[in-house]
Amino acid sequence: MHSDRENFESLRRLLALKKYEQPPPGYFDRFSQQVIARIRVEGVSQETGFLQWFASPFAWLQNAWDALENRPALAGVFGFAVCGILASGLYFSPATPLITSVVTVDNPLGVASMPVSYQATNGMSRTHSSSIFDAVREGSFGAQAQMVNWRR
Amino acid sequence: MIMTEPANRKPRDERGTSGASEIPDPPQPDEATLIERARGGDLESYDSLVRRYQERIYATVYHMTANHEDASDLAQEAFIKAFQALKSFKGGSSFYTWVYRIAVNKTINFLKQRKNRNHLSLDDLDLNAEHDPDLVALISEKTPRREINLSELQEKLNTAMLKLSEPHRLVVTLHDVQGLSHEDIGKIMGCNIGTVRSRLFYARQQLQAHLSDYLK
Repeated sequence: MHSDRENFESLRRLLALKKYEQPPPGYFDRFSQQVIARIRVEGVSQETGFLQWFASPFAWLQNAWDALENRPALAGVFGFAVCGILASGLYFSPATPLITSVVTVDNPLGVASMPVSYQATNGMSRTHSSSIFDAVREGSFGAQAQMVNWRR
Repeated sequence: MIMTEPANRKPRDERGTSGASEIPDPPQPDEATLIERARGGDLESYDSLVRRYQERIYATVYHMTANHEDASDLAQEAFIKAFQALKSFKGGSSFYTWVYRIAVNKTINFLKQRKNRNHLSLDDLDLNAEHDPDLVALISEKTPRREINLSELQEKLNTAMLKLSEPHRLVVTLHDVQGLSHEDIGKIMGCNIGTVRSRLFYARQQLQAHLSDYLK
């Protein structure tokens, strides 16, 4: 160890030169002020950064729109692709069973004929009623009918 | 040199003693108190912490980069990052070791990006360097190129330092320039004392080889 110290004695003396390298006068008087000022600025930018983060999901949409606006061919391809996706979605979507019954109202007054559609509960097909009053009587609407005087 | 009295100092009393001198300066809060206050967002306390360690942190980064502007930016960024991460500082190590580690990591990352773009921007030498007995002896007696001046020697030394790898340059900087102990260097670099010693030995060997013309 002692020989190591002797071997590097000249180097140690030369390295002493680095201790004399000093920044410009007054540099350290301003240093901490600059750090504190930058911390304040960073603090403010962090607060505004939240707003930017909040708006960021819409920023990519704006960018995409700008990109398409400048490239009509790309916009056409994009539109075609979107239409294709929608069409294939409609085509491949499973058909939902929709059972409807048409109830024809026998209008005793001859005012208007009203076909009434409703979906049968529990997927069960309902028997056709000849009159809406029959359906009401059976209680399939779950509603109460009131007699109306149409002549007034 | 004429010393002027600050305007806010109290006037001297009848006995000619300064009124201000009778009131002792308020005791400087200890480091733990300053850290606690800074954690709560007190920038004045953090300013005190920065002032304590700014010279050492700057010097370390400067000796690693050999560039004043880079060192200035990196040292400031290290203190800013330390402030932002102050809540995660558990106090397991001393504050200055912790800040050192932040500064060193930042510097090493920076140097990796800056590879092969070593532009020297050296600080001026203090006038006292000319009177340093070690340097005087080195130049006048042992250096074969006696015509070399201190500025040239400074440039050669910094160029040789930049030829070292970052861990080797760091260990020389912290030990031979800044005078830190092997133990502290191990804490800062995250390695054991044996590694610090071996790196130091290798780094010195390399430097000696690069600077052989000036060390015979």
